[in-house]
Amino acid sequence: MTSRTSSTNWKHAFAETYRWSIKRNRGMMALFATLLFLMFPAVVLFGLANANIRTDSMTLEVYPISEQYANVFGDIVRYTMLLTVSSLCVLFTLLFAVQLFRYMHNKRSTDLFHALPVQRSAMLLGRVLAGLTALYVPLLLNTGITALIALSFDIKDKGVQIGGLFLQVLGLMLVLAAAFLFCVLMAVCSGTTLDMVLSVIGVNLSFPILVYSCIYLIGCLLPGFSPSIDLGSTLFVALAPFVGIFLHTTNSSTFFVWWAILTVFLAFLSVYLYRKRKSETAENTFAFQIPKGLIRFLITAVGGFSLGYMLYWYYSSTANFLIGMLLGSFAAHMVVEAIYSRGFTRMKRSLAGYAVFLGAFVIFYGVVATGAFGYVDRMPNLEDIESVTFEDYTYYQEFGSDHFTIQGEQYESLAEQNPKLCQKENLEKVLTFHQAVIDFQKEMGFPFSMNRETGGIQYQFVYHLKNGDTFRREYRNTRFEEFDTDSAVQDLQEQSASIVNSEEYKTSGNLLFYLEPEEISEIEVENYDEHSEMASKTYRLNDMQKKELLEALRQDTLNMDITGHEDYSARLTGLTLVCGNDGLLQPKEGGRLQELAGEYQGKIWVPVNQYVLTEKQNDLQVVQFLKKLGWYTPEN
Amino acid sequence: MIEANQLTKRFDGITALDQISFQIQSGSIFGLVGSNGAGKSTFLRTLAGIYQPDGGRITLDGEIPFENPTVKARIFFIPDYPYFIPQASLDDMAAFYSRLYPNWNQERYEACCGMFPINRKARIGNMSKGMQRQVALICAIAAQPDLLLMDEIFDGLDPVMRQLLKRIVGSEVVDRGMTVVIASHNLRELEDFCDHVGLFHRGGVLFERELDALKLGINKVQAVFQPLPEPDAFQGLDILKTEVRGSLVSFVARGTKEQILERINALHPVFAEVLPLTLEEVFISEMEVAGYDIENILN
Repeated sequence: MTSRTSSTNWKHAFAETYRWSIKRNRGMMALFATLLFLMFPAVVLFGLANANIRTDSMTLEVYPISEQYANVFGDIVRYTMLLTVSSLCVLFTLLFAVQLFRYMHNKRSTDLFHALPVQRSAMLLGRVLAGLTALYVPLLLNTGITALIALSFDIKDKGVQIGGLFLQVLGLMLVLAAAFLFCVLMAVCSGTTLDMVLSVIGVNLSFPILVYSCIYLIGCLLPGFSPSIDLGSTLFVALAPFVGIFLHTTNSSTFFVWWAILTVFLAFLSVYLYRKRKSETAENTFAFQIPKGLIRFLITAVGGFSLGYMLYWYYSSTANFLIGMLLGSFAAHMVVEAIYSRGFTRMKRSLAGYAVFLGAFVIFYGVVATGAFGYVDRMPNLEDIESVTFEDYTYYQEFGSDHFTIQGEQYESLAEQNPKLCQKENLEKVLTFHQAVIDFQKEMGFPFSMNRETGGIQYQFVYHLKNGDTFRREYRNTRFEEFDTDSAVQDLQEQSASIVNSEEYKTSGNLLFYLEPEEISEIEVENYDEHSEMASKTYRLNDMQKKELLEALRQDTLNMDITGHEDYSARLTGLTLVCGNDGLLQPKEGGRLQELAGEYQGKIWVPVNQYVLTEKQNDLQVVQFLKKLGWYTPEN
Repeated sequence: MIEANQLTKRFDGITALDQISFQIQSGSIFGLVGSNGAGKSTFLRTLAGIYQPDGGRITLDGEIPFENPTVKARIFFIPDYPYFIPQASLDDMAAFYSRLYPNWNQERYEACCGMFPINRKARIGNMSKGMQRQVALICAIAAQPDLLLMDEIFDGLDPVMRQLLKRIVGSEVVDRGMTVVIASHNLRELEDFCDHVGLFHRGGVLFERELDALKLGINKVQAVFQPLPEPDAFQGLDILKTEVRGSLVSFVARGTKEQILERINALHPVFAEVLPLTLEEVFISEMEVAGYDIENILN
């Protein structure tokens, strides 16, 4: 009975808090709705009304008005959602949070609200729901108006377009919930509204920078590490929901699952902490010390990395980076402490927090510089490997690229083919070479230092394991010129050459070995002689010639030493192999390209490759072929 | 009944309430006196459920107020600087409170609005300090709490309003048995209003007593003797403080008026009278006996 009464009281208090909070924020909601209207549906309306719609019969045949409107609608929605709607949402999320939770930061208002017969959980959650309502109602209202505008212009695929719009807004609402609850948590943890706002801004700006900085540092220090930095990924904005608002147009399910989880977690944490929060902390800097410490840590680290990288980029030395890190972090620590403590009176005491940061950085740097607990030495076993994709970016791939992609008619990716090694003999070669690369990296200096790997990727190993996993290592440009006399360098180059010159390597990722002769439509021969006007001639080939040409190109590829460097100062001729209609072709049934396309039955796009031939390459079979037909002369 | 047991509250290393223990009976008007920083407001806020005690406990009829809406619904707290929702009028505040306090009495509210000269539609933020206190009091009375907590409520009120306040609160105590705890450092204001008083000093309760018993059991005597009797002639009187100026002897003594007069008259004074003590004088006398520098405590 008691619990039922208590539950009824809670619901009543929650409902009253919600009702009252909404009432108090009606004006702000109206303002938000109006601004959204001006920057979203109004922009869409004006955009569609003034769209440059082509009405000539030829255009309309392939491009109906409804489709033209649909494209304009899609473009405007994309840009307004990304820029104006997201920006307004960021602003009003913060404003509503301040409006609804600033009462915690004033001793007099806490006297009023904390004396009321309302549980703190009901008081907090009632306001949270009011805040979300204040954000969602104007957003949904304006989305509805936008949908009506789209309907009135009779855009193509209305259902899909409007459904897509609402899905996008749904995603935005989810991130907004996380952002709003993040503000609530900061409000609960802060003693003043200024500290709350500074903390929200500080964390949202510094977290993505810190993640980027850490990954970049690992990439600089740790041989083999492939950072694959994608600034739009969830990791970079995991604790920065305000930045996440601008990424809500992503299709990543991880992104939305993360915000859903974070929203629930933040709600629970906020309620838990609010129940623990002491009313007397109003007007102090922080209600809880741990969040203050974490935020200070975050901003201190960002300050350190920022100055560290500034000095590092200028001089590219580990020492400069470390000096910059030390000075920058200390300066950032002082600034944060001065802001949070409103002066320097607690600076001495706060140095313990700075010492914690330094300790954490030293451990992090030490772990990475010494190989990250064996990360550097880790390699898969031969018996676990299904195949390896290996790239040595040192060499210029003369006969077209050693990898290619095929796309469907709508440019959707169908397959990407890279040099792939499956034969045991080649796998052993790769593993041996990989071990040699690791040993070489260690020979260059251990613990690893930052100034060793600053360029692009030199070697890339991607092991596809039998259990379905992938094991990837990338080694950035090594300054071989500093080690030219070292036999280890020559040894590395020889081992790499042995791999890239293997038949399996040359054939697995080269389009020539996937084409059928009948898929070639014509060739273009261009003369790049600087003394004559550049001329291009197109030749159509009969079936026999196509077969002969393809065979010649394949044989030349197999005979070629990929590691060799051709002299391109000699007179050049370009041979372009055109497949289908400028690269769009119907693959031969049963051919290797169709095999790569899988279930896809339409036409495919293949790259149009040009093969550059110099006058010194007379022994190439393709040159002989062209000469035989009279297509390879300076007169060309 | 309000019961504080070893109640402790600390702020950043400062102990505002240091293990205080005492009781306040239901239906009484209890005055909390003490200098600034004595712990009066902290005690009220802890009792109102705003502060959570750091040690010990405080209860209203056996229940802890902190995070307990059932108990809080029976308490109304008027702080020293009452807070009102920005832009709100008296009617707005009444609407706000009426939905949260289960005993809210709209008729009582209307009646109180008639008693106080307040424009119920005007913004409270634009009102004077005294008028804001009147607004808070109107809301408090309409909420019909079992326990009314008031912190420095007399500040800013003119004498007429002070009397009105005392009359309205007094009638609530008489009619409904409401308990009132009122904190002030002004003993003179509490003297004719409270039935119990407690003296707070540096987080502790120095003194807690029923006011009538306190005042009736101690008297001030002024007598003129010619010649002055020997000091040991006053033996038998429980004198707390003596002052002699020429032939005028003034002293404060414990005992009833009749008992004291009988003893003095036996010494054949030229003139003798027994005067009632103000609350402040009673406290000064008692505290000096207890060894405290009362002037410093109260001022």
